[in-house]
Amino acid sequence: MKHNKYTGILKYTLIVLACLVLSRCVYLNEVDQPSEVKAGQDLVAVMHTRFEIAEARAADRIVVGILVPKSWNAAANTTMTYTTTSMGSGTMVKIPAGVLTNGKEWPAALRERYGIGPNLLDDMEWVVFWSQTTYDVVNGDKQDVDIKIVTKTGPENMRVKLGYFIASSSDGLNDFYTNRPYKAIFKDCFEVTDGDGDLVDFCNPQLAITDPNSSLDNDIMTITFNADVVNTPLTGAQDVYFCVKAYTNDGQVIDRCVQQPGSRMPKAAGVGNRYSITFWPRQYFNVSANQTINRLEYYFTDASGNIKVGYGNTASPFVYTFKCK
Amino acid sequence: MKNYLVSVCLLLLAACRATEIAIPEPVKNIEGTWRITKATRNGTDLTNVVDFSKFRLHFQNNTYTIDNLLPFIVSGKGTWSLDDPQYPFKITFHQEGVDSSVVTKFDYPITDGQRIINLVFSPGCINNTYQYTLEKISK
Repeated sequence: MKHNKYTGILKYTLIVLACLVLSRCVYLNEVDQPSEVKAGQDLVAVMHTRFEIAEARAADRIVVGILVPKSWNAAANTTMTYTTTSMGSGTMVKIPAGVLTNGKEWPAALRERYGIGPNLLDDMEWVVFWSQTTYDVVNGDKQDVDIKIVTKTGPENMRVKLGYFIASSSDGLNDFYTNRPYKAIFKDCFEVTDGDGDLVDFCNPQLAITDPNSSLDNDIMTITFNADVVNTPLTGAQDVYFCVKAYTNDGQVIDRCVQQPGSRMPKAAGVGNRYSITFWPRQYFNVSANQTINRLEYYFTDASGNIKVGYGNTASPFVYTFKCK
Repeated sequence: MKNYLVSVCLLLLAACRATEIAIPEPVKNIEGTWRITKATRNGTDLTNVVDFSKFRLHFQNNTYTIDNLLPFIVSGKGTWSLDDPQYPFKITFHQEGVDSSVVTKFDYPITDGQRIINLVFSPGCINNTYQYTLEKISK
């Protein structure tokens, strides 16, 4: 009798657990994407996904996210459509503000979960859409869903690793299930060509990293010398200093190339040989209220100032143009 | 005797009636001097890489002043107001000499028994978001 009682409890527990651990399987099999597009032209990508339902859901929506450079303004410049095996086709719209998953709005939740993927410059954003139509799905349903994404690239030349995300509104970023009901893929380096300015490279390590990538002179700016990228004359230097000129809108050139405590770039802990300086440009260059700083030209130097490392490990300075795109 | 029992019962019932005490929500008083205890840029903690220690924000009556300016919602003294003195959700800064006001979300939670102010704003490029946490240091 006792044995039967415990067997019953065990069976019941297993049934409940089976229901809980397998709500649905979501597959993101592949994303078709060109290797390059001209600046300002449309990038067309197709996500091939599959949903296998293991628990009925009412009023469910397909959720699709893309990780793109902020300068593309993808929320306003993207359209998404989809086709399914037997549930028809439809269009997708940006998820309204206030819709939460894991206690956060979808873009913030994806940012928390995936960050900027394998990209090296933190100037990217998650833009998240969902199907306009809601679906009542039943246990055992299987749907192949292809999502066509058309998004306009920005004006800048760049290399970037785009991210693609698929989920459902019902299960969101739920990690309880053994097979997570959401998936993401980050593609190889994609290139925007024939655009404005210097190449912005999100894919490859750079000697100089600026954060934020887009900023104005009233932002707080961080410039990092990544000494691990290639051997330079500063390899092995105890101290690295920031040597910079600021060019203002009224033609003034402000020189701050002095090796002193305020220009020293402390080595960051735990990330290899990276030396950083964080500053407020308006204060650093002591510009007047009527002046704005248009651009910076800078080097990294040793304590004597005699050894300088510039753009691409040459004698030319790194150039940073203040802009907001 | 019967009347006496009825009276006693009514008295007991009256004694059991719950008394509702209305406690008015106090007006949020942010007057005083505030300092920055935490600062982030696009989620990156800047607190220990920029010297925020000298920044001071003084609220007095309906005016504010700033000492040792850093990138902030406004860059000079002016007037301020809350959208609701008891249940504020937004704070407005109106800098002297500037035509328009700046309105931002006002987050005023209690942490470790003390009120703090969280302000979110973009002083430079609109794509860059800063959050300052301020703590009152005097009344």
